[in-house]
Amino acid sequence: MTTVQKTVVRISRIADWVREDRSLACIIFSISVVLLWLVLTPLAAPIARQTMKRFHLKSESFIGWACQFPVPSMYNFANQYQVDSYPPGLISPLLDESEPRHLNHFPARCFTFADGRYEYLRLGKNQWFTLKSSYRGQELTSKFHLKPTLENSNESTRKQYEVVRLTAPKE
Amino acid sequence: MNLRQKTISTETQNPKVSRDTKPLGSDVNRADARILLAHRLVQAGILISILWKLKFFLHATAVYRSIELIDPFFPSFWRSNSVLHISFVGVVAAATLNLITTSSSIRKTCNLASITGLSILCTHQASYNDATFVTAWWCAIWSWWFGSRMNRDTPDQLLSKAAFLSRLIISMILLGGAVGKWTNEYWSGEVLYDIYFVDRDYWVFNFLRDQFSTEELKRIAMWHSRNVVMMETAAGLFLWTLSDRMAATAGILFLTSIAVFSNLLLFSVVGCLIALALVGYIPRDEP
Repeated sequence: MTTVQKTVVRISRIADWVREDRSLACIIFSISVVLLWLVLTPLAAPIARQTMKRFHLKSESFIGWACQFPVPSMYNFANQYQVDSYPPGLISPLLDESEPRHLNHFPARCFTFADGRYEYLRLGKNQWFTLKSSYRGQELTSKFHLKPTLENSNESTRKQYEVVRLTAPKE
Repeated sequence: MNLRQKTISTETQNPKVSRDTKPLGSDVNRADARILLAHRLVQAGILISILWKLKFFLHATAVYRSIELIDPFFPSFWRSNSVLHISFVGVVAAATLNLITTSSSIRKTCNLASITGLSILCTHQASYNDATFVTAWWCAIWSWWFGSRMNRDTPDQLLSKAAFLSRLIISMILLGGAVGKWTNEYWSGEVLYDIYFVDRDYWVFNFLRDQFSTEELKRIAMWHSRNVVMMETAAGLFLWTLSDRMAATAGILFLTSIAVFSNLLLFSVVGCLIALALVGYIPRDEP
């Protein structure tokens, strides 16, 4: 049997499976939707934009954001974050405390995930985070103010922060 | 006679295959041991993935308890530490029970529990960024489908479908990684240089920092990054087209190399996918 014939037999067999197994057909359809989304990411700017917003926790709604979780996005885009203890623009660049660093994906993890939360928020002080994602000429920059609530005090070991988005959700 | 009719005709003439055309009964003891093995392999993979970073997870929960983030983007359910703990423990319990049970109804319940728990972990404020839960979620979807077909398909037919679906899932996940890297910052090596080569404490990068200057390291990072982009792209586009065993071997080697040469913690992400790839090795009677 030639390679072409083998391929035709395999495709025919997969078509048979899909016809008689609805749950398999549903999963293959879902995978096809994800693949279409992936293939369109470098071609259609709005798709890449949606993923950037997803990474910055800036999707239009939580439901819209959550629906994207099956789309695999490991080490996607060039994501950077910078942390400051002073409000943006208050001090000169010479006194900037941190250099921008790269993160693999979801740059907002620098304050939501355990290691970043501990590193930057354990003292209960104000912190400003700047996130930047770039992909094929597109960029999205977001600023967050992690604002301690009134409950925080030096003696308390438990800290609570309010997450304030400094840039408008629709850019 | 078209190809499909020809295939069916050949199968009915083959006594070895026709023996298997009788669907499995509801009694699991009569089921082919290979079917149970495939299901248990993937459950073990999910369990290994989830527990690989258990120590980190325990430290992380202590941090989440002591530092709370009030972010209106996440509904309170998806910020709750209790929800995080219950989901995590629920997935571990479901995968463990799935490893030992032979009951079809318990298996189905456990698979649904895994999907529910992992869906929450994929969207919870404290865990949404961890790719472990996304890869495990796709494996749980595979398990749910496989569990629902164990008493309906013949063993050979089910294993063929299972191997195809497993390599399709692995291809999609690798392509997901590749597409996001089709950008200058990865082609130049800038991103991986900053993440791994500058100060990551891991044997590969410690060794390279000892041996090479900063400029040389940047060059190595560039070629390493290009290699990752090309390999992920090739695997994402073509892995699913290979034969079962070829795809399993290529998938296991590639996924293992990602963790061994970057960061052993990545076994939490690729562990369940390696188990999923192993399904391609389970022998079948039909060619």
